[in-house]
Amino acid sequence: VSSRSLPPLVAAVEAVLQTKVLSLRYLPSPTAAAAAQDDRIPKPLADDVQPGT
Amino acid sequence: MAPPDDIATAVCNAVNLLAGKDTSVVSCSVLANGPRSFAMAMLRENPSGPFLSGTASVEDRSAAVVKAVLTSLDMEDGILAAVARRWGAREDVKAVSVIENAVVRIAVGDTDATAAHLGLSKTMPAAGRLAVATADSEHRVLLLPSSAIAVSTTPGAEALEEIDAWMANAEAMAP
Repeated sequence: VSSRSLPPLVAAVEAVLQTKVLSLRYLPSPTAAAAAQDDRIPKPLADDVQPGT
Repeated sequence: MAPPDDIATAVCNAVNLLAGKDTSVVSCSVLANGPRSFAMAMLRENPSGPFLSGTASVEDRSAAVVKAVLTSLDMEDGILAAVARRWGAREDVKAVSVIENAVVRIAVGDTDATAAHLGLSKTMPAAGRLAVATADSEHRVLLLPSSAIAVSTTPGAEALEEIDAWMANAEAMAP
């Protein structure tokens, strides 16, 4: 499992567990990781939005 | 639809991998029963083991086969539930929760951990695996699109090796 540093996630987990987290690893599923990658690509404007208006 | 034997075999393969069994399909058939499908499955628990059989009647043909296979294996409440009970029986596992659609469906062991398991699954930004260590516990969560399984163990528990490998396999098999 690859390691990732996600400070907001650490804070959220510490709030849930009500204790200090010594280590944390979060690995998104391949599907979720691919979807996150897609989010970096600018999406086309919706049909009802006209550029410059 | 794929032949019933093929579907049943796929289910058995998943059960074998995820629940540590050695089941195989002897026969499986589906009959139309009005709007519902009636499936009958006969399995062997291992090549020289006893025969097991189960039936199910639901609207979808494939779902009927899946349910018949799980019924024959005494896993009517699903593979995750069977895995949760198996892990929960270990001394170094404190608690296991199976969560479906943000509701805890099965809780094994220390029920105080149930709320924490639900909370941990909600902290995850997307489906995936979470591993957390604190001074007195280790936690693992596998979050799938509509379900999750969460485990708490003692620090450095031997069970973690199996749990981590299982979660990686289960995630790879998830749709």
